[in-house]
Amino acid sequence: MKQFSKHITIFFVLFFIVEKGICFFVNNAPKKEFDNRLELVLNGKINKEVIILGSSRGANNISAKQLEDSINQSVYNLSYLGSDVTFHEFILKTLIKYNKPPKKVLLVIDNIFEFKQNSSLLFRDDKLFPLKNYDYINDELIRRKKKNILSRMFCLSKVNREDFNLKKRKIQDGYILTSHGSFLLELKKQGVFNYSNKSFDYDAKEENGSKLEAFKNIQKLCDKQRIELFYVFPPNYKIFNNSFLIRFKQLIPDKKQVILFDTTDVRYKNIKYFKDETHLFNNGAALFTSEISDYLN
Amino acid sequence: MYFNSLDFAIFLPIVFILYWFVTQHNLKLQNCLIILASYVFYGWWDWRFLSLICFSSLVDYVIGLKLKQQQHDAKRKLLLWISICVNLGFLVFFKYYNFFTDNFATAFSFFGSPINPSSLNIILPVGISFYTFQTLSYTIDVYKRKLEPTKDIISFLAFVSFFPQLVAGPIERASNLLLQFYEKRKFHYSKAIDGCRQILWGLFKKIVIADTCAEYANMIFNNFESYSGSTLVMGALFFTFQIYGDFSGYSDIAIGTSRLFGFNLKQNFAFPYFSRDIAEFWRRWHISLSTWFRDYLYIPLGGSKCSKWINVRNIVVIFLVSGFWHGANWTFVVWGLLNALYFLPLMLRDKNRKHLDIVAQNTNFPSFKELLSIMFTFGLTVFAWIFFRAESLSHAINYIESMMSVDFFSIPTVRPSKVLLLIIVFMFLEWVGRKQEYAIEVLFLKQSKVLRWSFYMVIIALIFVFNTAVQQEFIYFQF
Repeated sequence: MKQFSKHITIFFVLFFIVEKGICFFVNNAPKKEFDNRLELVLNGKINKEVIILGSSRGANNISAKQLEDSINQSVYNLSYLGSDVTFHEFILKTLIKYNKPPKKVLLVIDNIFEFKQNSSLLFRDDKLFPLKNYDYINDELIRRKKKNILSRMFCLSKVNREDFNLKKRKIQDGYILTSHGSFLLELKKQGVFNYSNKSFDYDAKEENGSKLEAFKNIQKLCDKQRIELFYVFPPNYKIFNNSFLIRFKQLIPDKKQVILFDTTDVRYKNIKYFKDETHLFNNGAALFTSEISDYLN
Repeated sequence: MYFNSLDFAIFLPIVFILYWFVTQHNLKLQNCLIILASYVFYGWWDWRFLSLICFSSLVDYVIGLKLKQQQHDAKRKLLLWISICVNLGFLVFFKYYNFFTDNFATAFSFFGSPINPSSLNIILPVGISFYTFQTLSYTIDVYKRKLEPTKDIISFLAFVSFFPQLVAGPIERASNLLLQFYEKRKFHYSKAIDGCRQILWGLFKKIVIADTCAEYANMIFNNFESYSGSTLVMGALFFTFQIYGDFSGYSDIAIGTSRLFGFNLKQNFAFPYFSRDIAEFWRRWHISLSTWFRDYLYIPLGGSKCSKWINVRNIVVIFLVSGFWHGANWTFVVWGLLNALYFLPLMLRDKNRKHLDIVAQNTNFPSFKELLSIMFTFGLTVFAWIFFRAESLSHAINYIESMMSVDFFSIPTVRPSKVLLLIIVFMFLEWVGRKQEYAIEVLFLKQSKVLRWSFYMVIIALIFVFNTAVQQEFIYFQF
């Protein structure tokens, strides 16, 4: 028994030492990312007056730099492609935890997909994985059942198979990540699409409870921190769905905080501003951003 | 409690320390500790079903003693039937009640008199198929006077509930395991190290191989309409390795854990995917169940010492029952029947005991003929697993239909190269260690400690890296 205990102890001590070597891959993971916005948030480096939250429609359709210049307040865009409202809640929570709370938050709304159960928008766990060396992020991954509890102790439990690939990630062709966090789209090749006049009634039965709750939490958080919350509806290359707006207004306390693009502006029917049905090129983003700055001024 | 959980990683050292450092001088106390640990282990899942194990154990304990006292044949038979009815009664109720009522309803509807039976929301107690068979074998052996009934209730309760093999086997016989509870266990360094090694290999099989393959098998089986024929073949292959890694991994952890406590359990898997025919496969796959059915069903039915046609009947019965034992679904029955159909030609030509040795025993590689037979047997097994994995018969049939489509020869759309490489390395290690009880039993034992320990560290590292946040259940827990 003595020999067994001795050998098992030595083995595990050696194992713990070797295991720490794996931490290199965990610590190296953030350096491979081209998008370090969340890391800046965690390091308390996003102390801005206006923050933009949203999915790709927030990232592509609003130029934070242009907005900053026109409203004379510091602006930063923390919108993530393909993210849903639960992710926006997480970003806001994290921002407030590690930085000075902003004065204003512009929450970009995905007309009609914002609260839908079945939509391609999701919580971007993949944006958290490279930052698991931060305990806060690792705990969130554990809470979301993406990592197990052992990852609090072992780098081996933290590491993902992708971490062993040391190549740097590259930004997708056609995107420009600006110094102010916006992902603007270069005027390049367009998809094939036509202006759609089809409209249909929004069905609140298809909404997801946790998304609605996250939305309510954003409102509460802003209320508690005395942050002015604005709801931004960017343009689509299709007829505006008013039934969603009616439903949306039932969920907010102050209807005046809605920033809706000018639905009568014919420029939004010009295909040259659009990459596809829902995303603007940087010229379109400039147009829409000027509308927002007019509103905020 | 799952073997692949953090709970078990804490539970095992605690029980180990108490067993060897606190209770080591008192056999009764050691056995009591095993009962307590086993009940905690089982109750971790659902403590309510502990009463079922206790009741089943007590019934068989009392019947065992009565069988010893009773000399009258009719009364002895009655006692045996009481035990069978109690044990199989629980099993039938918990496992098959809804299956039978649903099928009766379907049959009545088919003949024009629809009925609406009430199905119950029954939870299947984990491990019920395993421990009922274990207690049944005890009573049958006592009835047949092959075994002396025990008077030591503590040893008997420990034998029935022994936590390493309680929920998914191996199904132990009293003649092997119960007797070990009577004797004082001594700690052996080599046995304990061997146990640790086997646990490590079991965890590797479960977490690295089975759970990784499960990801792809589930994806393909659940959306089979969207995949090409060749991808569906990949799906069946992934499931083939999943079920092997999952179940044999469990058995390895069970046997290894038992070794840590000074017990020897029987080997449950002997590298079945290297079998040269289906008869050999069944001598190597889930050995404790196959031998149980052989001893308590096949031989009482007449076994092979009867006419050819009665023997055919016996073979079909044993495979059908074996299939049905796995679950209350027609898919398992068809899986059993399919295996019977694979087996019968060998039996009819008296070739079912042709391969009793280990493949390529004296060489490193199999002969071309052996390789072909291994591949052919493997192919038959993969095909049969489709029925085992499918949710329903129609699912299985549609899956096979889609698999046999024209794009059978196309390049599969799902072909994760790293996972495939992992499976190849795993099967290579299995091949190298095929003469042992488990693949890495003697691997690197003759080499330096540095090399051996480095190998174990790599295995542990892989287990950590592949371990997902959500614990994956062992497939055989549902049986």
